[in-house]
Amino acid sequence: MKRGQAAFEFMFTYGWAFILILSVVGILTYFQTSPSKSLPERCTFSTEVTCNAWQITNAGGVGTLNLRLTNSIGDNVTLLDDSITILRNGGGDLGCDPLLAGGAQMQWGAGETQTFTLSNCGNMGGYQVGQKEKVKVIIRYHKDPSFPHEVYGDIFTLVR
Amino acid sequence: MKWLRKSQTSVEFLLVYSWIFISVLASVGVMYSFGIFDFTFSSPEECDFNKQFECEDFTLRESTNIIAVKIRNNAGEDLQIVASGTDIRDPEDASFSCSGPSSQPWSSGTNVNLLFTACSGSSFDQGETLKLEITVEYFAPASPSTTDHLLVGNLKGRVVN
Repeated sequence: MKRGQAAFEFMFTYGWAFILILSVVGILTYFQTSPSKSLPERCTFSTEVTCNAWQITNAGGVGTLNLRLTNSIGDNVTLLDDSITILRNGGGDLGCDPLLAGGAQMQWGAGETQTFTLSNCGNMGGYQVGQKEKVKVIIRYHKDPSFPHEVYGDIFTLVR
Repeated sequence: MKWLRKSQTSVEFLLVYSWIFISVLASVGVMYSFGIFDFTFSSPEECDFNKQFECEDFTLRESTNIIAVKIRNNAGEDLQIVASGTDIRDPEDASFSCSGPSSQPWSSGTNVNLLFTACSGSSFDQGETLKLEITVEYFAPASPSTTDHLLVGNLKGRVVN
């Protein structure tokens, strides 16, 4: 009798907390509220690169990524045609065209800000317009071709 | 009856303080999922030797399992690198190893490319940041004693493909 009473008292005392938690989760699910919707957009690179502006668009399943980046490496560096790789959240290439035409190179001066456009990204499945999504950016550069380096970046933004 | 009291104390303790454990775990989980503990983005690459030997460039390549370090001889005299005393190691990974470069001359005012080959280790993967310690043994052939010296430098770099 006492044990049953204890259990009843326990439920009576803490039951409201369980009901409250379940109600909140239920309401959030009903309104399709995801915590990621309220998170701010961001573009973060390691200290070698400063991300000034960014945009991901999806036009009928074909994506474009625009990045405005500053070279904070402290030296003039060279980028090759395949120097920028965009990875989907969780892995896999976003399937964009190379940064430059095959075999081409571009110089990126110390402190210089450049706009990089990666277009014709064909692997945009799941990157719906109006949703915030994450991509990983790998930039490969060199001062001397025998000594390549890679910089990593992370973008969380609204797909437009 | 004693055991009952003990278990009652445990239950009461959990009921009172469990929300703290749960909220701490939830906070850590949320921070982890947002990449707070991912220091890939916050740590710049570094290569530091002393002023007489300036580290000009380096690379850590997973595809070819090599680590190459370009160092400038600002010592003001020609040197000779001794292979047996030239080494690279990862103080945080005992499994890390490389084959050292060969003995080679190092003229004053020029760069030497120290090439460590067949590098392997549990963290020698693309995207990983390694903190390595490099030791270079050298002597000056023109000096009367040709005493061996050790140059120690630190390299923090990201492994590239």
